[in-house]
Amino acid sequence: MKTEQEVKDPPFMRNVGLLLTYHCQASCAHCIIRAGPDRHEEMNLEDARNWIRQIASYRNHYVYVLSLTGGEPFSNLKLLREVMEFAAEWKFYVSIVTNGFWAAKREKAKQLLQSLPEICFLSISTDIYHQKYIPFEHVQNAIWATQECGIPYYVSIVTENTSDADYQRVNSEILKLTAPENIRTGITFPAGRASQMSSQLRYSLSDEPPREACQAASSPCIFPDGRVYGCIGPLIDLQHEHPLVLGNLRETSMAEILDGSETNVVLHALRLWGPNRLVSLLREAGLSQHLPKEYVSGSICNACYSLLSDAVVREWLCQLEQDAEFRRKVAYGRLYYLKETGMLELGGF
Amino acid sequence: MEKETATAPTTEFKIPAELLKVFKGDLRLIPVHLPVAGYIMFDAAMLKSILLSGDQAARANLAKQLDALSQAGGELVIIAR
Repeated sequence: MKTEQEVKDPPFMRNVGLLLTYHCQASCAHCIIRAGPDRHEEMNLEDARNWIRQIASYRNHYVYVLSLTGGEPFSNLKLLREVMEFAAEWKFYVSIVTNGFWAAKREKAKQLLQSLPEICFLSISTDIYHQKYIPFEHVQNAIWATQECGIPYYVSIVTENTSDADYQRVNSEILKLTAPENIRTGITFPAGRASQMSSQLRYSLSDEPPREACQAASSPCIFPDGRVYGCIGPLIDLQHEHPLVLGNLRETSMAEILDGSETNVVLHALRLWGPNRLVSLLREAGLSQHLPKEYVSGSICNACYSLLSDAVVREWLCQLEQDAEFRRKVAYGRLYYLKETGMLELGGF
Repeated sequence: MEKETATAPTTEFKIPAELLKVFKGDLRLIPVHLPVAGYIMFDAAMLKSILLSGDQAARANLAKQLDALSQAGGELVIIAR
């Protein structure tokens, strides 16, 4: 845990995610979107092209990076290639999250990556969940091929608890292949498929939410059906409207949705102070009985998900959106902590 | 493609004194690592990695410029390809 002086916040909305497909070779227990071999929904190519054009046109190419995710984006190589080539034509950097299933053989993996020169960054996922479906050797080959092709990357490992022996074993194995700064660890939480087996999971729990700000809310994500969320976190699993559902591209233009996110008070409050601040405000408002009784330690996403799962909290957040004094505080808070003036410029302060 | 650089906002915003006091007295914490919930978020570290992965001499220089820009509170620069 670092203070703001030592670690930088990611810039707001310089990165937009495209969830290309729900198909995946794995059915990981922790998957919040319930991806798997039995899922075949994917982003229509014409939609992808339309949305990419709109993103490129937004505020004179304000967005730099398109992050392709799923499911497994390499599942449909034709779609992946077409989307990447189109994104590159529109001058985007392209990053991809992958499980590495395609790297059964080293040289073939290298050839595949060489055939996709638009890839600027790879995130390769492995952990005890993925390894039930994707042999670790594939991940080793994927890392090797990525290194051979000179593509920047990191390896993502998800765990319920960093003290877990299996997590530490996987982490040690990855450390034999790459430097520590290329490894990212995330904490799972009971959402998506994991909500169906929460009793079997080994979380570390706490009475209080994590105190850190949320960084995931700096990057919206677009789904195949046109929904745009403020992040790619577990909130996408909630069936109700909430402040981080930014809009739907089948009803509203990209520019309207992204402009709306610039003045979304709850989204930016999360970016500034995290769900912990919302918990404090809810207590002050006399709504403690609607707060979670416990939180997954180290999981900002879990705290946010738990809050937004409550209908009374969601209603209260809608009212908070209209609170002029809080809006003002968030707008100036963005300037003070993040050097961002978007909300001040658009919000009429 | 034209090189696009950041420019200062056309309107200078001044933080009200009472809010400035609140913010200065506040401890804001951010996690060390970005979330791994589904995709990579672009930040200066990633751009530096991209820059350093190709032509070392030219890109190392750009990476240094990016550091200097970040320290000064500046914006990212889009480089023509």
